[in-house]
Amino acid sequence: MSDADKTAVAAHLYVTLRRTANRVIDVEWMSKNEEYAREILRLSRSLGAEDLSRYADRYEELMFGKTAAVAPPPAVVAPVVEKPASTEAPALPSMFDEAAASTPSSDGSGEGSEGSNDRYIGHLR
Amino acid sequence: MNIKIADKAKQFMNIHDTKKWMLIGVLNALLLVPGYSSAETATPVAKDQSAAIVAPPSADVPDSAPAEAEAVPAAAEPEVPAPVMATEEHEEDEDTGPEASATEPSVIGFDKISAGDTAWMLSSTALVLLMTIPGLALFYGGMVRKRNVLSTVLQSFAITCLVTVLWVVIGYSLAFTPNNLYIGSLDRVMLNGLTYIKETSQISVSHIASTIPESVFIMFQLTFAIITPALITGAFAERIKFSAMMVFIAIWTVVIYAPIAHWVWEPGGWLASQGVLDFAGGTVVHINAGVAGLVCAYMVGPRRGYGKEPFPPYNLVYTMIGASLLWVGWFGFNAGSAVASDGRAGMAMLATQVATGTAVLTWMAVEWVRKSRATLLGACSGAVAGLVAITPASGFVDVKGALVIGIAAGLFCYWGATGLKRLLGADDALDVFGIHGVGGIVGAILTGVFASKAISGAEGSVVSQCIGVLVTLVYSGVGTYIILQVVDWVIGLRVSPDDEQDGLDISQHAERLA
Repeated sequence: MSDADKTAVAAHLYVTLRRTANRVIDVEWMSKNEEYAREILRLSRSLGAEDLSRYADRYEELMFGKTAAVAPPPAVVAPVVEKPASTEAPALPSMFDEAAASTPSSDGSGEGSEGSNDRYIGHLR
Repeated sequence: MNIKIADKAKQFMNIHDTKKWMLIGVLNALLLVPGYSSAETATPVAKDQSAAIVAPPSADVPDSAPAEAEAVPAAAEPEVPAPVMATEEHEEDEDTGPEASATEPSVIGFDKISAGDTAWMLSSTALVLLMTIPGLALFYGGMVRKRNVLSTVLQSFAITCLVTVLWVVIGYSLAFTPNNLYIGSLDRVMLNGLTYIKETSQISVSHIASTIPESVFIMFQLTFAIITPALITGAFAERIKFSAMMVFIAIWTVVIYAPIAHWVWEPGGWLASQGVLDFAGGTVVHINAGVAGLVCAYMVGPRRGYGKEPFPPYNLVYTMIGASLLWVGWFGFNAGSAVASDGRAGMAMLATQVATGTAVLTWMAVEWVRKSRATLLGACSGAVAGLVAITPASGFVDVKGALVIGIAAGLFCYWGATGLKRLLGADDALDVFGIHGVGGIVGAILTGVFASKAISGAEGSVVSQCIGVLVTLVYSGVGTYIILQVVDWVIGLRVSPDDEQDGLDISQHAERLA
């Protein structure tokens, strides 16, 4: 299957997880790291939401094929919101990680302190 | 002779009798007819009914006359009767004389068209369209959250197309044809009567801009009609249904924008007759869009999480690029509103640049005083504030006036986007009222203070300007409220909370930024 198909389903997982469980996942990393993807699928099913389970099944089918649907979960559970510290980790922040992508200062500088407090709350300018 | 007629016309400016305004219309005609047949009055003054009534200042003659003489030799001959040719639909009006025809679109020979004016107006039209796509689209797109960037940009793009169709179908006719004080006629519905006949060298012109083809004038005004509703989208950004937005904008353009444009810019319009000065759209465009945006913000309601969580702008570089495009395009907006490539257009351009630069410096200075830093968003906001405030004044004020207006724009619009915004309590997402509404009001009133008779031939009146502001605030505010109620009842204005949380890009358009 194409990466576009996987990304499309993962995008649905992303928005649904954020909405229902306030969890943020890395869509790109899902397509590259099977271990991370399996953990996201496990998490999605564990929440008991019908649409999440459906997306998880579809993603599993695209990534692992139908036979892998009953494969046991990995022994090592990857963190959900933290990216693996591997050298294979994507260099750029997740395309959906809005806070990382759009907060003007996320580098911990002095400007960032304002951004993390009341900047852009209730006003833009 | 023109000056005597002008003096007589000005005596009538304060008389609120319908018959008197009809007389003024006739005087307009008397002046407009020689206006495009003599070198002395070769500069048409569109959108400036007061300046159209009084004689153009002699200072303009050296600027416009050579270009006219070079481009159209026949136009340099004084005392030539107006070349108003009766078309088939106008034959019935022949008994009223050529003067009466000059108060409505008419057909003239190719040789009466000014090549210089036409070239500048073609350029100006492209510049003003550039303000909306991509200027305003980028300006707004950079300020919303990542999940709503595409929908915000698409709104400006779609409005461009929607208003284009509405304008040629009915908008232009309602706004820029004579009928009564309040609304234009239906004579130009579907641009009926728009003429270009190569074989007989005949072309139609608007009575408001008699040295350029009517097609160019229609296009120029269309770009104004496009950007005005597009400005409103900043107020309800990130939470309105796309379908509701399109329906609202369609109705608003016809019911709100076209009548106000008629009142202010059509020489026989209600506010024009009151002596309200609005060179390029401070009232028609910015106050109008600003108050409509405020009403939209109240009606649509605040965004989910507004005031509790941060709404970081996606990319302020987009906003800076957008603001820069707006700035450059504004030269077409303001200098183009002279509807001529003459000295007054040059003064408008100069005033625009001076006021904008001053407003940016003022805004940054206020930020520095209050927050100990200047910001890029503040600089971009100051630029737009200055551009908005100088818009109604650009063809009327000198450099000193432009400097003061720039300072006032920086101060008041900063307050509009911060203190006033808190006072009003509405989630005007991108500060449409705070910048366009407040800037438009400041500019309109200061036009009455700083209008220079030497530049425009017109004297400003603060009272008249305030009347224009109040009328626009009330009509646009109430009208927008009614339209929104209807759209809300029929379609519903807001997306669902889940769709809003997911972002309009994916929930409304099934697209997302990569």
